[in-house]
Amino acid sequence: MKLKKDLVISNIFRIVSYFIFTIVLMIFVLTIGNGISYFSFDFFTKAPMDGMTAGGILPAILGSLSVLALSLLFSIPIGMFTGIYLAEYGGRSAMAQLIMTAITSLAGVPSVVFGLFGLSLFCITFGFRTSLIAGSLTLSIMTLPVIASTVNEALKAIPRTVRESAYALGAKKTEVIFKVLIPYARSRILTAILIGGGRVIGETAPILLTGAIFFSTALPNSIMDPVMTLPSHIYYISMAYGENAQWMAKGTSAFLMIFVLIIYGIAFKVRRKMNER
Amino acid sequence: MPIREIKHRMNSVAITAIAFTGIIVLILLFSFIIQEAVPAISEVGTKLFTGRYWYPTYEDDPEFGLLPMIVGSLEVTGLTCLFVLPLGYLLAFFLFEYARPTEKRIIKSAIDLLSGVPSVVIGAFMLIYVSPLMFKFEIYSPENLLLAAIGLTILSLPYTASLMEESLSSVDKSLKEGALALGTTRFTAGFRVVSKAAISGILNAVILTVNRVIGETMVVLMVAGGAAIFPESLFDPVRTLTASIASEMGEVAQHSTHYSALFAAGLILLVFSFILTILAGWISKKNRHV
Repeated sequence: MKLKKDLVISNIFRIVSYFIFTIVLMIFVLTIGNGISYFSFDFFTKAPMDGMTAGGILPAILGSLSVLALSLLFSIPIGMFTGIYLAEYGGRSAMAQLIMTAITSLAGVPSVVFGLFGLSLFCITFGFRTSLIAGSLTLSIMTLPVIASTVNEALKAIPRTVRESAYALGAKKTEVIFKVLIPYARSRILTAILIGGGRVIGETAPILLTGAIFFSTALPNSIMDPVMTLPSHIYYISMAYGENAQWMAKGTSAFLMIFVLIIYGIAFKVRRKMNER
Repeated sequence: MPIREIKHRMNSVAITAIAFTGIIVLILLFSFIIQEAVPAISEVGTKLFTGRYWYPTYEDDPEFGLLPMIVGSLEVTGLTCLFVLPLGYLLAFFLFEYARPTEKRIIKSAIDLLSGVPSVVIGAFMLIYVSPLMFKFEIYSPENLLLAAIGLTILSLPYTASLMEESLSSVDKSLKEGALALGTTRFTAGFRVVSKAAISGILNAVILTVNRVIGETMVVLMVAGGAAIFPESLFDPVRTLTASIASEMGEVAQHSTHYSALFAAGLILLVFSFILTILAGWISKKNRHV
């Protein structure tokens, strides 16, 4: 009797889980399947033309890549150093606790609030206006907690023997960190950077407030120019353009989704491999 | 001093100095948002948070009442949680207790990958494929509260489910085995024993989910319909704090009351998320000592 009840429950749970799984698959299949048919040589090499009804998404691709590169340029070193401090220097000190609290709090702040912050600090106070650099700095602040906390955890997970044998060879603390510990934890750090990068590529709200314009025909000439990114492009087209521009939203969604799936796919593969080791 | 020693000291100083970035950024974040929100608060007064009307662009007599958006945010979040918390727990429970290894691997991979899908893509998906269905049911506003909640459920489900699964898995195996050895069913062992032991982790997942949903912008901006009214049914359009900020900020004059009122909306979100994060940290910390 009891076992029968368990069987019923397990089947209900299984059905609901498979239902969720089906919906997830449907999102992937519909978005990619319907978008991929618009992929063409022109789609990747031209700017949008004729009121977003023809042409391609080259400026958005280049814009997204420059935002990605520029924001990682700031967030990787700062995030790694913060993580290193927390794991190797701070210990259980009050300072380390405070930094940890700050990092966790930042991780929970809504992205649109980061957008407001970037707008008032970078665009207005620093005078960067709506620009590539303002957008990238804003996003780098958002990625900082992801990288910092993963580096912290990765370093703390390294067995003590590794550290002690390096010290026994006469290495100094920073030499141990940069020549032994970081290389040892490199796959976990790589995963963090990939996940942070995936987030940067997909973030829309902060970029709308600090860096995006909805149409540009060329690559930004300087970091002070506004950019067009893949997510902002999808947003503007789905909201403000009619039926005959919808194909571009579908195509861009598919491209962005494939791009992010590849990044996350690699990240999770690296992580799984690590867990097996 | 040998070069090695100099290098080591310089690196140590650099690491310690840069580690303060997080604190500095958090302080700057609060001070800038507060500083920009203050003009609206002093100009409009408490009506900013209690006013029922949001007509910031009326020339003669603009109204700056954030209440419809506060209520909108809470309604969207409440409805989403109604969907995502049970579904997330159920999925986590299935993966933890019943799933076969292959099943677990496949479903988990799909969920993990879904967690990477940008919110704007989910928004576009809802707009292109789900919103047209609303016409079939003769719903006057194809973008509405329900649609936003469904979109947010898709978006936050991976997050909720994986946090809950982690907390279930982190419970000592002997507890479950002990329960099973006493003759309980797997459901009872998972539900009454393991879930009880993992309650702080599950609560943590709930809080983090609420925080995530209330701060989400793109999905609500694209599919919630955007009317600053008090929604009375599931099919009414609704506007949230996040959506107002993202859609109106592009058109306001710098340092106008409207601009400042949007920062006040941001301040509400910031304070809310700060409290939730601290609460989540406190719960997991408290439990660690036990």
